[in-house]
Parts: sequence; structure tokens; C-alpha cells
Amino acid sequence: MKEYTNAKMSVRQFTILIILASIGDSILILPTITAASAKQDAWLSMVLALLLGMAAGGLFAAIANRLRGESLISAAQQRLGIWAGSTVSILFIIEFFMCGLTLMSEMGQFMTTQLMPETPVNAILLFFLSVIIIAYRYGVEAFARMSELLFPVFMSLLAVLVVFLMPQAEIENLQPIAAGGLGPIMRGAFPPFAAGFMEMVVLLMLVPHVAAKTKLTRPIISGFAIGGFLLLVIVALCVLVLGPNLMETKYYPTFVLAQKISIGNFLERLEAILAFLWVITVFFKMLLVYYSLTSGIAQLLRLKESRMLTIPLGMLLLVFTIAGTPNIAVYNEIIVRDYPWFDLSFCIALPALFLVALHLTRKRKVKGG
Amino acid sequence: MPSLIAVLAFAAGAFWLEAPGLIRRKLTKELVVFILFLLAGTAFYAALVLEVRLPNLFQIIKLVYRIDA
Repeated sequence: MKEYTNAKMSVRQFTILIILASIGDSILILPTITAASAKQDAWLSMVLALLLGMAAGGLFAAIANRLRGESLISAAQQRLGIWAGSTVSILFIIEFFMCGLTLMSEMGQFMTTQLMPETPVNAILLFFLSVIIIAYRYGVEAFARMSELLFPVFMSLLAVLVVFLMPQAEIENLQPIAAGGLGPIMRGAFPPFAAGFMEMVVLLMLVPHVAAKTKLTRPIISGFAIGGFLLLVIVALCVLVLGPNLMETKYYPTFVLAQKISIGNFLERLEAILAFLWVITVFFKMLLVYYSLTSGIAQLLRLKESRMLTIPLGMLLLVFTIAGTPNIAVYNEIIVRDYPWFDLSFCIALPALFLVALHLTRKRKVKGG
Repeated sequence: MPSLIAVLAFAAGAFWLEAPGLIRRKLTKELVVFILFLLAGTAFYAALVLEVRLPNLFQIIKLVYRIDA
């Protein structure tokens, strides 16, 4: 893995990657999922998800600080031994693969239902994956720099969207606050916590590339906080402008939100802006997941390079995305009801156990001198 | 049939792109892993275009995590 371990990114680039990836697919699918449980309190669910997300960020930061320049997979193998380490590594790789499938599915569904209804989903996914593979092959430095370049564009377009929608916000849409008690708010917080924060376990694969002299707690926590805050703004805007009923019934309420922009009968239907924002964030999240998957497999098998795995892994992702998404209703049901539990097991419970194991092995080493 | 030929051609293209470099640098283990993954990818992709029913990985998650599944 020589070709990649030398590649470095700055702390700023690392933080930007975390922000973009934590927004990821959530910008488009989260409002409807959250509103299904929490209705007009979706924004409160997002606040709760953000707080839980900060705790998840603390967990990932604690692991990142203990990795000491190693990636998650290589550290698991070196510190836990070959059998336990490989088992843990395989479980992480399964999570990366499944996360990749969800992102690809969402990309395919969104493009075929909203933007390009007559284009075969295979063609869309093939092009999307090709871009991901090319970005991966250019290396960590290239995509970290690209994130730095696109971040101001992303923030500016998001600001345009928020400013133009403000005149249509109706504060009555937020009322009554917490009428159904805490239950729906907590249920509504679980999917955004899973999609926005738990899946960011992939950042642990980037740790060896971060040129940081100090601990990584600050960039990780600030990345989570900014990404989570932006998601909160989007969900709050959906509630304020669309109201809980419309938000709950539309698959992509944020897209509907952008269609609502109308400034003086001149500036209208700015949904292309939103589609662009979404493509940027999904691209970076998918890129991090794909990077983690490909380099994770290469590290697990102790290969000297990972580039040759990109095309075969792309083929596998494409096949299982198409096989796994026969229709949007079945997929969405699984994503809302079951997938957050999968994320909880693989992105929180597994890293927490890994952190304990790291702590114990270190203690044993200290005792053994 | 044309789809199957396209998949096989794509796999052959991927092999042509990656294998010579690995052989030249004598990365035997990497070459073996690449061939295994490429074979798996090609077989599954061929199965998909031949409309063979493939496992739905999301349904497996549903089976594992849903009590009333």
C-alpha cells in the first residue's frame, strides 16, 4: 500500500470531507424519513440526531487518536491478531459494501424518478461508478483537494437556496411543538443519526493520510457539528416551507422545496441547484465509502496495491445495487425500519468494542513492558 | 445475448488494463486476487443480464434485524 500511505491531506481537507460526507445522501432523503415519525417536530429529531452524532464523533475521534497513523483495518489486524483482527476487518468491509449499495440505490432512484426518467438505471449507475473509480485512482490527495475546491461552491449554493426560501417560511408549520410526546421525536432521530453520523465510520480509513501533528478530535467533532447543523437547517426549512404533511408524502421533499422558489416571476425552479448540491455530497460520501472498501480489502489481504480492485468491485456494487433495489417502496421500508439497526451494530457497537480492545491490548503491552 | 457479450468484453477490457502491469511488476498475489474478483464480478454481472435471480442483500438485513420478518 506504499502508493497510498504517502498521500497526505491537510486537517482542513479532512474536515471538509467529513462535512460533505455527513450531509451525503441525507440532504435529500432525510426530511421525509424524519417527518414520517416526528411530523412537525422533525427539526427536533434532527437536533437530537445531531447531539447523538456528536457522541458518535467522540467515539470515532477516540479511535482515530489511538490508531497512530494506521488505518482501521491494518490497526485491527496488527493489534488484535490475525484471526480476531481479520474478523473485525471483514465486518467493517461488509458495512462499507452495504453503505455503498445504499448510496448507489439512492442515486439511481433519484435520477430515474426526478431527473432522467427514460434513462436506464444501469447507465446512470455505470457513469456514477466510473467517476468514483477515476477519482479513487487519482488518489487521496486529488480528491481531498477537489473537496476543498467544491466546498465554497456547495456552501454558496446552499446559502442561495436558504435565502430564497426564507420568504415562504411559515412559523405556524412548527406548531404544535412536541404534541405527541418524546416518542415520535426519538423515533424520528434514529434514521438521521444512522445515515448522517454513524456511517461516517469510514473516516477512520482516512486517518493515516491526515497530516496532523495533534489529535484528530477537533476536526472530527467540528466536521460532524457543521454537517449536522447544515442538515438541521435543511430539515427545518422543509418543515417551515412545506409543512409536515407534504414533507411526509413526498419522497424527495428538499427537491420539492427547491421547486417552490419564486422570486418576482423571474428566478424560478432552482431544483437544478439542489440536484447539484446532492450530487456533490453523495459523490464524496460514495468516494469515501469506495475508498474504504477497496483499500480495506487490499489491507485485509495484505496486497501491495489496490488500484486493480477498483473495476471488479465496481461491477459487484453495480450488480448488487440493481438486484437489491427492485422498487423504491420496498427499499425505503428497509432503509427506515431495518437499516439503522444494521448501522448501529456495525458503525457504533463494533467500533466501540474495537476501542475497548485497543485499550486492553495497550494496557497489556504496558504491563508486559 | 448482446448484453452478455458487452459484459464479457468489459471484463476482458478490465483484464487488459490491469493484468499486464501486475505481471510486469511480478505482483502475483495481486494478480490472483484481481482475477478472482474480476471473475466474481463478471459472473454476477452475466447472471444479472441473463435475468438470473440474485440475492437481495437488503432483504438479508431485513431478515436479520426485523423481529416480525
